Amino acid sequence: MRDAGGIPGLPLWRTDGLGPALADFLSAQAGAPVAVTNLRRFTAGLSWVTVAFTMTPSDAPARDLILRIGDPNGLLAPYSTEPEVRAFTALAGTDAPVPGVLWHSDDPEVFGAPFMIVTRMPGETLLPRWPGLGDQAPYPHAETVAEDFARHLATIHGCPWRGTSAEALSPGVTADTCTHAEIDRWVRHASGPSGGLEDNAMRFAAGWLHAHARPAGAVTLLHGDYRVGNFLVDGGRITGLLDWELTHLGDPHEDLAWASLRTFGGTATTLSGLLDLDRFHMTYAAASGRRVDPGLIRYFHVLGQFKMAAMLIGTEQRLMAGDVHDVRLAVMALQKSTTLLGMLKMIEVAS
Amino acid sequence: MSLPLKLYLDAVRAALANEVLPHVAQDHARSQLLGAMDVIDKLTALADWSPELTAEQSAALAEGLAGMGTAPVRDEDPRARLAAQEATLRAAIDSFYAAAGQDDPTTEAAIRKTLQAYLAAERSRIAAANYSAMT
Repeated sequence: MRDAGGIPGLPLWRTDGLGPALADFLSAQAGAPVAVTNLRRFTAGLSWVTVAFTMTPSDAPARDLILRIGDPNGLLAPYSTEPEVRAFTALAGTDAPVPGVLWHSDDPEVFGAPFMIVTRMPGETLLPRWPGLGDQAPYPHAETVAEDFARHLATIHGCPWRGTSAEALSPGVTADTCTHAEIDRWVRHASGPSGGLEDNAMRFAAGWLHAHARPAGAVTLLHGDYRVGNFLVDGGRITGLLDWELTHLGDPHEDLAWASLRTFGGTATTLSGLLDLDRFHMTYAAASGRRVDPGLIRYFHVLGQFKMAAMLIGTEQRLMAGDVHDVRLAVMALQKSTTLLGMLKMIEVAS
Repeated sequence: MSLPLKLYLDAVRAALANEVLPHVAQDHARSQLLGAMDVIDKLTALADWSPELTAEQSAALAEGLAGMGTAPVRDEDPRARLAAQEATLRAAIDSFYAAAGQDDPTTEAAIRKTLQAYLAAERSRIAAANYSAMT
């Protein structure tokens, strides 16, 4: 891995060396000097490192861009840029607001890890409103944002992915196998040194999920992490859909259920305490022509919580391996019992 | 608890030493931080999970496994007993879902309730995290 050059142990993106390295890369691409200014790293994520910057070529107007780096210590490492690029390519020509990819590579030679440089979309991230924070005024753009949120999901699920590079997101899956394949993906993620799931609640849930999976009504392109917090809003409208690293092919109810998980602040009537759940489902059904099946939503709530638990177990394994670069990993690991109890309650409800 | 308590304390200490200390310039704040790190160092050698947690988890598994008709685990050492009970439950789960036609909601519910009781012992000791304060 390329490191900080004289700062042992620190990856390049955590040092002041990132700006010059980025300018070198962009200058080489442009074939002329490029200035990089206004570097600002976003601190929220535990996955891809996101850095905003301004690129100013010597012979062209300045552009605000985003550099994303797949940190090998990130929550879902190892990373590849390919899934997102395939999804964005498949969605080209639709009205889904996705960033334009200018450069990307999985070669660690440039920045020490896979990276992509994308266009910067306008707007601010909308954060979940967690229960227990007291009475607050209703979100003023709830109606238009819920409408956009549902309509964009219908566009993603309606994407004609067959015959495109997006087929490689989940090679060979069918309506009968796609959900089983997704369960197995997360079983692998949560597997320990024994090669299998080492937590009894996870073993039980994996067995339950396989035993109760139904063939998908359709195999669609999925965002994979479609929820409040992963889109930008500007002027009361959604202007950008973010964080596609979990994109894959599968049952559209998987995205619908994920969006309403309580883990993201969801309640019986809202998405993340902000958007009306019924309105979201009704708008989605009208825009997609697909029926929203409440039984399948309950099933995929279990799968969603299983994924959340798998991520927490991943943080445990990182701590066990001596990875202590971010104490929030320890915070997450300590939430495992809460997450597993939530998952078992969801199984109880869905049974 | 899957991980030794020491690992969590190591993570806290590392965050303070590597992510916070280099950015603390004020003398008094720096002395307080170094003091806190020293306390963590000293406590790390003494820290272990609560024996009451182990006992509660063991009792939850003993009751659940008895309800499923498995023979009781009779190990004198509490941690060894808990480990053996966990292994017994694991075998019961694997056996249940390996069987053809596992449409047996009664056994499925019994396993689930046993797991819920086991996890509740840990959950009752750990408050929910406020992630929004950490972003």
